[in-house]
Amino acid sequence: MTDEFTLRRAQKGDAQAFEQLVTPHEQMLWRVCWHYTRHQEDAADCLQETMLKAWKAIKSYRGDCSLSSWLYRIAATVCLDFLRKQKRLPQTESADEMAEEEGFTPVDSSPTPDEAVIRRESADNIRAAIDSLPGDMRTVIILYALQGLGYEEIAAATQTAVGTVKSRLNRARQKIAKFLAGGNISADTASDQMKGGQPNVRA
Amino acid sequence: MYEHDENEVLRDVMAGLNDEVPPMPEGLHQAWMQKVEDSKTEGQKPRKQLTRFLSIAAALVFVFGGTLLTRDSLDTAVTGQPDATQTKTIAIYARRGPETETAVQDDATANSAMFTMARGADTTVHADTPAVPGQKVIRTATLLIETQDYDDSLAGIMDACTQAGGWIEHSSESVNTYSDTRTVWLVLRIPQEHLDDFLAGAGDMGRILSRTESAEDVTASYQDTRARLDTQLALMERLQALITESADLGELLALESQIADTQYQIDTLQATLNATDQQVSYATVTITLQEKQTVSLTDTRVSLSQRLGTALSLGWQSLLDFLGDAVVFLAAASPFLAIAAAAVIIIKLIRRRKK
Repeated sequence: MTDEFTLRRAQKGDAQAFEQLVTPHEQMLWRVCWHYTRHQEDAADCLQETMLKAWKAIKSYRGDCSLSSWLYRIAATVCLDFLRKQKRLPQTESADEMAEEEGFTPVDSSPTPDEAVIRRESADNIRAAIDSLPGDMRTVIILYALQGLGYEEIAAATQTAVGTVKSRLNRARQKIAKFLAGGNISADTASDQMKGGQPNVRA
Repeated sequence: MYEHDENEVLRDVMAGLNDEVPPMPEGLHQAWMQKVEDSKTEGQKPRKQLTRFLSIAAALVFVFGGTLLTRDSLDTAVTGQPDATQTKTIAIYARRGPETETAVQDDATANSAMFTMARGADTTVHADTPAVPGQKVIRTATLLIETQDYDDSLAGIMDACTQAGGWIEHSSESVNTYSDTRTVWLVLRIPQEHLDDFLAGAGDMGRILSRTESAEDVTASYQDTRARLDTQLALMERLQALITESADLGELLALESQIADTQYQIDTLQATLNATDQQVSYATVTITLQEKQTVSLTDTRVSLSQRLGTALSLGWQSLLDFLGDAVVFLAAASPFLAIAAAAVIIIKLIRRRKK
């Protein structure tokens, strides 16, 4: 629970109160930033930017969602912006995938069971598969699978409906399975893999 | 449920990736806190400075603006007199021929007259005395004269007017309290035959800054009026002859009515001719006599130390005057300020309670 008094102080410009408020979430944010960037310096930059943005926006925090969800949202935005600037984010999904997110479920053309494929893969390949995901899917995967958040929490953090979260998660899982099975999502990602390097990871 | 289980697989498989997350670098916490602190001072300093600057500016605008805007009305309210910055009429006198009467000349009229004369400075017209006998010409002249010997010049003008056989139709004198100089506005009536001599002598009364003369030929309208008068007089004679001969009561009444109308016409036409005759016989000369400031900042004959001393003295006096005006204004505004301050305090208290 957010300490109301501390929050009020932070909203009035008390930096110590802000520190007191967000420090419990610092490690969690660090992990999120690292999962997005997978680079220590980049993650540190993103964390600092996240904290700065949170500090500047704390006045507008009205408690509609939990503070952690609010911080997740900021961190995800900061990290995705960072990756976009670094051109390390794949193109957005196709029209079919967008339609599916809106509630239309296309016929599943891949009979391969995702679970079996995913379980077989090594950590490096899974990481590469996550890197190949578009921003919104990457966010739900990181928050769900790596941070252990529930659907409602992710929905709050991404400001979307629970159904959208589930849909994104489902498609993310299928894309990962397809990637691991060899059907890479984008030409860039395939090219990176052909070169033997890790896609979307800065040297 | 199937979907839930499949997603759970993601958690199982990816849980291991969390182990690869390196510990947060030492000093990162301090680094972002420092950024937060820096942004706090960055954002608040200019805002505080801006607020302070705007507050001071608003206060200055309030005091200066309020003082300048209200000083006239407050001065008038306190003293019951016009402001010192305006020209004050201190002596008003007028003489018309052998009779003496007093007239009040307000500043606005005097200023307006001066303005008219100043405008006429570049359109000087020299009018000549009528050459044709029986010609009716109304002559007017306007002079703007500056002098250092104000009293002598004024006395000179009065004497010249008297010697020419004229009179002062109107006169108003005023003093500018800032420059401490006097100005007199005179309307003189000078016999037309002596007008040229009078104007020629005007150069001795001071430095002529502007001189305008005009002549209006009213012969045609005068003769027209004269002809109408003659007609009316002839008609009157005829009516009077008729009334002596008439014995009928109704006719007598009609003739009397017509005689009354004709007499009215005769009187009106005669008055018009008399007025024109007087305007023709006596030219109107308007003179504005200005006293020249003896100590001037631009006067090269005054030494630098004197100029500096005068400037300092004037500046100091202006400052004192302004401060006095500002105090008066603040005193006048104090009830409003008190209400505004009370409102601010109440709003602040309400806000504090809400918090």
